[in-house]
Parts: sequence; structure tokens; C-alpha cells
Amino acid sequence: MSEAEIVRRSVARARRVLILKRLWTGLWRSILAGGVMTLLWITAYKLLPVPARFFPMGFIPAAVAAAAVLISHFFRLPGQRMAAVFLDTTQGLHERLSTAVEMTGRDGSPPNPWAELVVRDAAGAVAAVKWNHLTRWSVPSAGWWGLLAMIAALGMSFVPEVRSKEFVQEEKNREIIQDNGREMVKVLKQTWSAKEDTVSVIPPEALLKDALELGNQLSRAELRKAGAIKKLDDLSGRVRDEISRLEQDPSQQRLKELASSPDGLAGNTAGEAVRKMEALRDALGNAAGKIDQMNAMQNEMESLREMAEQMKNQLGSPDSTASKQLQAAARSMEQKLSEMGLDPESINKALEALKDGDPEAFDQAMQEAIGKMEKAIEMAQALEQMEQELGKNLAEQLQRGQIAAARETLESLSEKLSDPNLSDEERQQVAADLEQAAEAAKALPQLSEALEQAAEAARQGDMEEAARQMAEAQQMLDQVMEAFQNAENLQEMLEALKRAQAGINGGRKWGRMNNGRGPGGGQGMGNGGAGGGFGTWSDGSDPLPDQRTELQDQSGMSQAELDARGLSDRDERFQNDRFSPDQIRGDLDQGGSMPSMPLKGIHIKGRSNATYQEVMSEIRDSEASTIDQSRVPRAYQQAVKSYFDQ
Amino acid sequence: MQTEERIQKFRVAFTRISQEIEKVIVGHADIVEGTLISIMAGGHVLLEGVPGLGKTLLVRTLSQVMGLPFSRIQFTPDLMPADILGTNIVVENPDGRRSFEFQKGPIFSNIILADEINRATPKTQSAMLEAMQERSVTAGGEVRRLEPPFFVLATQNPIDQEGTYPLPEAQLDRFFFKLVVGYPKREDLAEVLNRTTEPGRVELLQATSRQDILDMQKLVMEVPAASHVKDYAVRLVMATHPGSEFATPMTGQFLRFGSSPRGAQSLILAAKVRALLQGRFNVSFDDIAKVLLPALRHRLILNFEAEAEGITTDMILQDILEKLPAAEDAGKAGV
Repeated sequence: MSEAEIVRRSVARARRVLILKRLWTGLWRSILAGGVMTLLWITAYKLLPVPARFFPMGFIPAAVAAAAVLISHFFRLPGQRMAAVFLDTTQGLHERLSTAVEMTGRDGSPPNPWAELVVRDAAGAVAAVKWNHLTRWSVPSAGWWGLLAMIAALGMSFVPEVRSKEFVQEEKNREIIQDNGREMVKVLKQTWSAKEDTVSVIPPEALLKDALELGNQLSRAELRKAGAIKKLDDLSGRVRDEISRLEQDPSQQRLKELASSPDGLAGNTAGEAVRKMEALRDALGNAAGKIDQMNAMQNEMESLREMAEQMKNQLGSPDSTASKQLQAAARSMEQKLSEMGLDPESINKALEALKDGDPEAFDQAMQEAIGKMEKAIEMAQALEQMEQELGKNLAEQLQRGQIAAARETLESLSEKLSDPNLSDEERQQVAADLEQAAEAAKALPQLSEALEQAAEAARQGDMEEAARQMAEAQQMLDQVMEAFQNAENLQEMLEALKRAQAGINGGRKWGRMNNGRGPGGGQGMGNGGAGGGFGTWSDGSDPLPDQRTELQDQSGMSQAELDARGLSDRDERFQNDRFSPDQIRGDLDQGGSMPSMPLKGIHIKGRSNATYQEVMSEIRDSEASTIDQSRVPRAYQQAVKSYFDQ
Repeated sequence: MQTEERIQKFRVAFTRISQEIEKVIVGHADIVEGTLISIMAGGHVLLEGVPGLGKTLLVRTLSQVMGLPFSRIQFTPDLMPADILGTNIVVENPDGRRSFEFQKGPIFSNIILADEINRATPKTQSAMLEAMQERSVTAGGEVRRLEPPFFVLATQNPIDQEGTYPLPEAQLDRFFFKLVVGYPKREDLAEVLNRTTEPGRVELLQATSRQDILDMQKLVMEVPAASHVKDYAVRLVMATHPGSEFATPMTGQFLRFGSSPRGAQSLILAAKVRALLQGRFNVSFDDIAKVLLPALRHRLILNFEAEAEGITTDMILQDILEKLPAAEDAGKAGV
């Protein structure tokens, strides 16, 4: 091997080592960069009011810096000359190798005698190189500093943050606003999607859009507490205005009143119930509503059976007196059943058994007849109950505000009228029902008029006109129902808005409020162990205190009704009512100036510590709570609500 | 003659000169080596030291050993430039006519001993400038070349002594090396006493000829220096410039002016001689570092603060040497 080749190979080998060392150093430098950045970030986080949600993001620059430093070591890798210098300096070769590399021609041969001498000298020096010394790996100083920085960062992570009370409160508020916004959107979407599936009714689109947008804003924490409350309050006001507008419609007013009655407004199951009622009526025929007569007949059947048991020995012959008496009684019973529209088949069997002189078969047939009568009585009772609940006819349903049921009944009447086999008697009956219904629907003049015209047309046999008027009436009922549903949906939206507002104002999360009630599903009044239901009464769904298996965090609970009242904790005897404010004037923004506060003759100047929106929200919350707990008489509830909502 | 043989001859000659000088000069090996390095590189030497340390003896011995004509100029306050360079004098021809004829001064020699150079006035000192740099003398409007090799070996007393004039910066910069001659060690002083206070005479042998010296100078110029080694010399010189990218804090604080480019030339040439003396065929970082102080110490100009605090140029150069990495490339490689 030539001397130039020895030099070239040695330098190539040194270059490989140098590249590895460079990467090794780069690794430690990247640790240093990452460690320092981490330390700086954690220190900044501990000292500066950086929101907690940004904490994980702060490690991204540290990771990027570490990666960048490491990657930078993959670039500008050392060349031949640098490797030669490295070998010279680390092995004390007095620049023999690097000079030789520089003086060697591109073809690797020394171009002049001096170069030849230098290469020869370098080749000789290479023999003394201790390669194992080159490959010793030690942690560079950057590495130790990096480790130190990481340890310091770790230690710093245990140091408590320096945060002001205002900041902590602001963070808590933000979290609560986000939670309430998120839950509000969820509730609104769930509610409206459920409604869409069933009745295809949605509240005014603009309001829903605004409510969802506001909810999203809150969930992104784009608004602060005062702003959130104000916006919720504004939107609630708009919803209340819309509800008021709907309520000004007399039909809605009437329906609202009806809705508050125990029978309630038509539910979604009303149609089903009406159909069931129709089925029962068909099955019972004329027997519908004749429970007493059916009971009497059942008693008669049992008497006949008892008589047959007593005269068992005489029934062997159909011509015996006893048998003839029983046959006569059975025939009479068959006739009554037929008149009532009930099935007389079992009585016929009993009659045949008597004719055959078979007392056993008679007894069996009578048992069957009694059983059928029992079932018929049960059906009649169920029908009667349903009629009581839903109204037995259209008039009663309209009277009770059972719109869905009324709509179903109207449809059923319309079908009946379109039946070609309809008798005059039945037609007159339908006309009478429609007339009664028109009378009952006086509160809804257009509906009443349509029903009246339908009744008139039915009475005169103009089925086409009657069907048209009835279809119109059905359409009106749909509109009424839709408007009512709108009002109802708006009410639900308002509830959601109020709930979010109350939560944000009271510093409570959505889940902790349970629709205005305290944690645990109860109102939370009293000893805190109350379950669901109103007031201090539990609905029994909550476990008793000794049955609870886990601790409950009640730190976020706010029970306004348990808070101290008044301005002083002093005994009432020492309190002066002159200190109770009766007027507040001035700028009521939080922290803003409050020029004066007349207190029945005493003036106090200072700064308000609550915003107007917060105060109003609290008052409205309190108002809703008071009304819910029936502390306000029913007759005054609307007046109280209007007073605070205006 | 092959390069290797020339190198071998150089080393032998250098060794012989050193050995002959050692016969007369006791101790001061570094001074002797520094002087010889300067001569091999074709530079002038400024020897600084208190009187009686053998400076003049060293120069005189050197001229003897090297077999070169030698002139001694004793600089005194009343010395005039013409006393050094020569002057036109009126001479009478054989035919009786008179004419001006240039009478060469002591500068026309191969080795010049400028003894106590800082005792002369600046005007006289500056008479040496052209001779030292251009190797020529201009007198009476005529330029006269000085015969190579031409070395000025100047001695000066420490400048704070009475009756001295500090050498101007321009003249200082023309000296290749400034060697500071210290007091001899105890054993060296004892040996001096033995040699000078007892009977006996040292016979000096001429080690080289004029031509040998010229050949050696030529050889030195051929020694290769790698680019990164030259770069080190450049960075060292730049580190003496206040405000430069390589300047150390000490440079910025205590220096008024740094080295001129002649400093870098001196560094490389001196390092080349040292490389040959060390048995190498190339210049190393170590060679540069070793000649840094004599090559640059007289080229730096301290500011008032440095003088007030007793900071010397040697301290600043040592500081630069410690702080400036030799192998910058190795640093870039990440090791």
C-alpha cells in the first residue's frame, strides 16, 4: 500500500469516527436545547399567568428545538480535511495529516518533492495513531448541562405556581363557561333533533341558530363571564319576546291554559289512544258505556249456572220442566246479548247442551259465557277510563285541549263519513258530534266555523263539502299544534339558556345544576341530602346519606337560599333598616365607579363589585326557583314572571 | 541536490552554529534559537535587556561563526544618520582634481550590530528604516543595494531607563523578532565566571558560509504550511486587533493597536524554521504558538489603561493563545 493510500484510508476512518462523534454530540446538544427550553417554559408557566390549557403546548417548542439541533448535526458532515485536522489535534500529529491531505493531488499522488516528503512523514505518523482512543465515548459538557437543565425542569415542576386569585377565578370561570356552552349546545341539538323526528316542528330558525352559535362561542371560551351572561340574557330576552308574541294569540292563550290542566295538552300518544278507543268501541258495539247492564247479565248468567247445578238430575231430559225453564232463560239472554252487540255464541252452546240433555256441557258453556262477559266488562271499563282521560268525543277533546286526540278523532269521523255503507242514523250522529265540537271550539273561531259548516254539510248529506271542511279543520288543528309546539320548544330553549346563565353566574357546571336543582338531583335545600323533587322533598331516587359510596365534591355548589341574608350578620335587634339600600345609581359594571348609593338618607360612595347582568341573572334565577317551589300562588305566578322578565 | 538532503544540511548547519555559539554564550538557549530563527527567515532581531547580559557578545559571536562581515554601531544621542549610512566626502584624484566620493557607513555589511539602538535620537533611528525593509540605502540621491544576507541585530535597554528614546512603531515593526534577554540562571552565571575570569581562550570555528545562509533562507521559504495553519496565524494576528471578530476581551480592554500584516508573515516564516528544526516537513499549530510572543510582542501598542495596570503585551498574547482555538475546523465538526 502506498503512503498516500495509507493517509487516505486513515483519514477516511477518522471521518467515520468524526461523523459518529458529531451525531453523539448533537444528541447531547439536543438534550441541552430541549432541557433549557423546557426549563424556561416551566419557569415561565410557574411565574407568569399562563392558562393551564397552554401548558402542554409549551413543550412543542422544546421538542422542536431539540429535534432541530439534532437534525442540524446531520448536515454539514465533516469532510476529508476536517477529519485530518481532527486526527492531527486529537493524536498530536502536528498537522502532518491535514497538510498531507491538502498537498495531495486529486489523483491521490504527491505533486512535488515537498508534498512527497510531507505524505511520507504523515504516513509514518499514522502508524502511531491510537484508534481506540478515538472511539471513546464520553458525555460532552453540553450533555451535562442538558441533564442539569432537565433535572432543574423536573424540580421546577414541583414548585407551586404563582397565580393571583383573580387569575384562578378567571380560569375557573372559563372552564365553567365552556362546560355550560358545550352542554347547552348538546341539549339544544338533542331536543330539536328529537322534535324534528316526531312532529317536524322547530323553533324560529334564527333563534335556534343564534342559540347554537352562542353555545359554540361559550364552548370555545370566546366570551368572559360578564359578556357571556349579557349575551345569554339578551338571547333569553329575545326568546321571551317570541314566546310573548305567540302567547298573544288567543288560541295559544287558550291552549296554554288547557295545557296547564291535569289532562294536559295532546301528547304524541294521543293518536294511538284514539285508535285504541275506536277499536274498543268496535269490539263492544252497543255495549259500550253499558257496564251496569253487563254486570247484571253476568249476575244472571251465574244464577243460571247455579240453578243448573241444583237441578242437575232433572236436566237429563230436554223435555223436563227444569230444562225448559233454563232454555227459556238462555234464549232471553241470547237475545239481550245480540241486542247489545256482544257475541252470543257461548249461550247458544249452552242452549244446545240443554237440548241434548247434557248438564256438564251446559255448565262448561256457561263458564265460557261468564268469562267472555268479564272481558267485555273490562273493555268497557277501559273505554270509559280512556274517554274520561281523552274525552269521549271530539267536543270533549277540544274542550280539554287534546289537540292530537281531536285531530285523530276528526280524521276518524272523516273516514266514517266517506264510508258508502254509512247509515243515515250514523251520519246524523257524526253531524251531531261535529256540531258539538264546533260549540266546544268557540275559542278558536275559524276552527269552530269549519266544524259547524262540516256538520251542516253532513246533516244535508253533502259528503264532499263535509270532507273538505273537516280537512280544513284538521289543517287548522295542525297549525295550532305547531304554534304551540313552537312555544313549547322556545320555552325549552329558554330553560336551557337560563340554566347556562345561572350556571355561569353561580360558578357551577351544567351537570351540577340538574335543571336548577342542587347536586344529587334535589333542590339541595335543607341538610343537603335531599334528592330530586321540589323543595325539601326527595323523590327517593338519591341514595340515603349512609348508602353513599363515594364522596361528593360540593365545593362548586352555590345554594343561594342558604346564604346569609341582609347586609349584616348582626342580630336583628342591632340592625338598622336605614342601612338597607333601596336605590342604586351609577355605573354598575364590575369594578366601575358607583357615584352614589342612597340608603334612606345615608349616602355611600364606592365601587360596585357585581355587574348589572350578574345581578339580574341572579334575580331571575331566584325568581324561577321561587316560582318552581310554589312559593308564589298560582294565580300570581305569571304576574311575578312578567315583572322580572320585562 | 535533493530536498531531503537540503533539509538535512540545514539541520546540520543550524546545529553547528548553535554549538559554536554555546562555546561563548552560556545559557540563553531560547535567545540563541530565536536569533538563529530570525536569521534563517531573513529577519532582523531586537534584543532587549539590561546592560551586561551578553547581547553584544552574542551578535559578535554569531558573525564569527557564520563567517559574515560584521559592523557594530554604537548608538548614542549624538549619532547622526550619516554616521550609519555613509556620506559623500571630497577626495583628490591622482590628477589633482577633487570630486565627491561616497564613503560607505557601517550599514554596508552583512551583520549589523545596532548596539543600544534606543539611545539614539528618533531621527538617527529612522535612518535604519530603509536599510532594514528595502535592503538598500539612499544617499546623495543614489540608491545603493546592501549585499545579502543582511541582518540587523539591535540591542536596547529597557525603555524606562535614563537617556533612552523609544523606537518608533514603524521601526519596531521592521524587526522580525523581539527577544527579551533575562538574567542568567545561577549555574549559567557560575559558568560565565569560569569562562571569563580564568585563563584560556575559546576558538570559534566558522560553521557556515554566506552562500549556505542564503540557501538555508531559500529552503525555509519552501516549507509548506497548510491553509488552516496559515488561518490560525491570521486569526492570531486578528485577535490582536481591538474590535475584530477574534479579539478577546483583554484585547479590547488593553490594546490601542494590534499587529500589522508583517506580524503574520513573521509568524509563518518563524514557524517554518521551527518545523524544520523539529524534524518535520510541515508547519504545525504548535510552531505558530511557540513563536507568537517574539514575533508579535513588539507590534502591539498598549493603551493607557494597560500601562497603568502593568499589563504587558506578553500577557495579552498569552491570553489570546489560551482563548483562540487552533483547530477551528475541529470545532465546526462538533467535537
